[in-house]
Amino acid sequence: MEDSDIIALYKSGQAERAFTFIVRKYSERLYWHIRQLVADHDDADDILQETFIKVWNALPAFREDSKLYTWLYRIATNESLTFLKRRKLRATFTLRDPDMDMASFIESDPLFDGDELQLSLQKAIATLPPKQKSVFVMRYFHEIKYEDISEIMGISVGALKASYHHAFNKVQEYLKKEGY
Amino acid sequence: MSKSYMNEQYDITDDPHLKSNPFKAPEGYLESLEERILSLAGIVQGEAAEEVVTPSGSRRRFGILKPALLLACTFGVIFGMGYGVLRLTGTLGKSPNGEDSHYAKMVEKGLIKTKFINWIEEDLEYDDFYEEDQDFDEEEVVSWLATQYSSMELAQLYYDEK
Repeated sequence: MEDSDIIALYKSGQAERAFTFIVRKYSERLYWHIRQLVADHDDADDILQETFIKVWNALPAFREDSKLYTWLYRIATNESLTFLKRRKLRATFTLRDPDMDMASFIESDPLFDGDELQLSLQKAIATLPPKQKSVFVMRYFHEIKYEDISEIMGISVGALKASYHHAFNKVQEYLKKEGY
Repeated sequence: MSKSYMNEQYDITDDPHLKSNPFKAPEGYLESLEERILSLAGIVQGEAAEEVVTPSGSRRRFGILKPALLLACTFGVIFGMGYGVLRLTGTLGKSPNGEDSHYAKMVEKGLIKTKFINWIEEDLEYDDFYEEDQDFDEEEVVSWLATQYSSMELAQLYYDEK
C-alpha cells in the first residue's frame, strides 16, 4: 500500500486501520535503522516501541507537508539520538568511554553476525558523534536521498553532504588504522 | 577481505558486502513485531486491518454495554447457583441450626401477624383458637361440664378459683 493511500485511509476516519498498515510497512525498516544506531537489540526494541507510541499519538497532527516515511524516520531518529545522549551522559558519570563500551558490546553480542571487516566498520561507526552517525547510517546503509535525510534531520542538504563526507573519512581512517 | 593482501587503501564504497546488515534479530522477533506494536496502541490485529466498514451504531452500543451485561450475567449465575444449592439442601427459610426460627414459630402461633399473612388468612377458615369474637352458648357449657365433672369436682374447682 502506498503512503498516500494510508493517509487517505486515515483521513476517511479509519485511524486504526491506517496505523496497522503503517506498522506493517515500516516496523521492520525502522527497527533496523534504530538497531544500527544503538547496536543493542533490547534498546532498539524499546526505542521502536516508543517511536510507534509517538507516531500513534501524533498521527492526528501529521501534516502532508512532509512525506510519511520521512516523518516516521524523523521520530525514530530523534528517539535514538535522545537515547544515545542519555547513554553518553551515563557513561560520563561512571567515567567510562561510551564508544569503547559500544565497540566491546558489538564484539561480544551473539546477535552480531558479521565478519571481521564488518565488525571493524561497526566499531568505526561507534566512534562517530550521534548526529553524524545517523547521517552516515541513513546514507551508507539505507541509501536514503540527501533531500529526504534533510527532511528527517532538519539540516540543509549542503550541511548534510559535508557531515557525511566528514563521517566517511573518519570511518576510512579508522579502517586504515585497523590495517585495511 | 583479508588485511594481509591489502596494498592500496580500502574504499568502503566499493564493497557491497560491507553494506549488508551484520546484525541479527532474535528468533521470532520480527514475525511478532507488528502484533506487539499494535497491541501497545490497543489495536486488535485483524479487526483493524481486515474490516473496511466502521462498526454500526447498535454494534458500538453493544460494545459499550458488553462489560455491564457480562457483569449482570455473572451475578445472575452466582445467585442462581446459590439458590439452587439452598433448594437442594432444603435449608432455604431455615435457621442455620436446622430449626425454624423463633420468629417463624411466633407467626405460626398467631402471636405475630404480618400484613401478608393477614391477607392470606382472609380466605382461609379460622381455627377456633384464633377466633377472638366467638360467642359461647351458656347452656351448652353447663351441660358439657355436667357430663365431664361431678358436682363435687365442680364445687372444688370453683373454690380453688376463688
